[in-house]
Amino acid sequence: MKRNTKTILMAALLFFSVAAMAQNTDNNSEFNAAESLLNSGSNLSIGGYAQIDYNQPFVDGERRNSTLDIHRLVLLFGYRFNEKTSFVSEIELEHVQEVYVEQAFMNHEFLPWLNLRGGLMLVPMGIQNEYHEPPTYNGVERTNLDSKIVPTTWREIGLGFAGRFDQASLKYQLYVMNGFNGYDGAGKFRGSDGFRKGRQKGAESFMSSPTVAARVDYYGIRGLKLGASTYLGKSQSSLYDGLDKDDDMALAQADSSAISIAMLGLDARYRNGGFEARGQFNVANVSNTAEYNDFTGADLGSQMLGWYLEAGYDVLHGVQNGQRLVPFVRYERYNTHAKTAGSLAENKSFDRTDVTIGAGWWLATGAVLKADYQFFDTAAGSAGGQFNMGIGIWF
Amino acid sequence: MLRILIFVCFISVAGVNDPAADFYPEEKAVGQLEKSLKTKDVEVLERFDLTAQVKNERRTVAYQFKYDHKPATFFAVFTESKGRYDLFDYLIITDKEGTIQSVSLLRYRSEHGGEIASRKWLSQFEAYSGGRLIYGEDISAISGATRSAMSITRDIPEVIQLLQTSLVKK
Repeated sequence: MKRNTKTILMAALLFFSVAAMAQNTDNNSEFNAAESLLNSGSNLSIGGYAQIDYNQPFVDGERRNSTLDIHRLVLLFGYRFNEKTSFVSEIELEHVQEVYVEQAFMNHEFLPWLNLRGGLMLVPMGIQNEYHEPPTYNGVERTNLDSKIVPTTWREIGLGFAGRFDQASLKYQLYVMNGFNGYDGAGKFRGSDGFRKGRQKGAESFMSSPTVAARVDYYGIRGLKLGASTYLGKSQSSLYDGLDKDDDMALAQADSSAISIAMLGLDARYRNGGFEARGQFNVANVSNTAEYNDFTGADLGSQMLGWYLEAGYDVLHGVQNGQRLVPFVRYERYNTHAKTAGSLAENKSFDRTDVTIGAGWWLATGAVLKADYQFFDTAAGSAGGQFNMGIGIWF
Repeated sequence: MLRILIFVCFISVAGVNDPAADFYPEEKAVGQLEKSLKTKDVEVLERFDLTAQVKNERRTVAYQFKYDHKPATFFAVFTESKGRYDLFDYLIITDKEGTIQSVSLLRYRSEHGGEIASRKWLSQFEAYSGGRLIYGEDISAISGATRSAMSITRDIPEVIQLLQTSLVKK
């Protein structure tokens, strides 16, 4: 009996010493595999975000039903191959039944200021196209400027560079990307929401000429982040495919089915104590719209312009319970017919002003309950209003 | 036989006391310090592995060192924090009392949140010597890098307190 105890003791000691040595020398194999996917040491990251909305429109003299929608549920899968190379993907379920890929790109870091990035990427224009997770912004719905002029979530397949300069508090992105589908047998653009219907989203997209997207962020002033974005290029047209190079008629027709876009964006975000504010300005100058509209029968404006300013205050500021309660107000103007070309008259109902008043209650950094009321106005008269409630999460 | 086994156990358990043996080992740490301090003369006096005492066992090693033949001793803490999905490494240099002289980001892995590597933003931690640090109050918010900024603001006080209680009084 005594002998047995001694043997067991020796075996146990041996086991523990081997186990301890294995732990000490082998940091990356079985030890990590045993831990869950979400372990900090794991190469695989899983995350996601979701937006669940309740919208009740109000229009004078009409009765309207409300809508309840899982507007989007996005699952992120990221994989880190090594210290320098990673892959990020986001799979989106929109309105429960539509499946999209929102991002799917590979990144390789040569140096912090020089990363090569390629795949399906977000066009870095404005604030919300890149930071579109509901807990990152006020209001149940995204700003309309970032829907009608910057067509969030705007993403295309491309390749380019990104990086940061720590000394200067700057970061940049510079991509060559595929452009909008402006014509594939029928015109895609229209006056009410500009380029929105032309997004190709990397789904069997086609290209007749590449576009360029660039953005610079500056964050050297405490609490403030400034951004400037630009997007330049032509829209894509299926008429260029198989075009006889000597056929001037066909070339002229194809040229009428494409437009040139020069979009500029400026934005700012500021936070100090409980106070927070943000603003954005976008202008898109579009050329060849008279020809495009004649050819396709569309009503696309030759300039789209919009901006918003928003301010909020965290009334739980200073409480330190991890929660935030932020009433906010936003004033937003956007006009997709700021200018028109040719015989197209400016449609006054596209000259819109939205005022949004509401609040967000952050129960945690990544979980928010939101409620707001939006007043919609146009240069042609009031367009009613809408009450919104929503749940936003991000993990 | 039993004595040999106990000895083996003792050696290996002693090894476990340095679970971050491959995290900024002396040679790499000295190279990094020489770069940060813009000097060619860093003399390490002692290495301490604090990993086991840090929350979530974030790899954390401290070096007591001198440089440029000056009499003053300093601490260099190599540690890590987690952004939304990835860990990032940074270096905290303190004086012998544990008051921060500088914080610099050594390795930021994620595609997002790299804004916290800004020299200007990190300079807010200089002269910190203990007590509560509140993100958005004492340390300004940084848009687009909230998770990383919150986690470094939460972790630095923990590391400084640990440094002061376990090493400064030695």
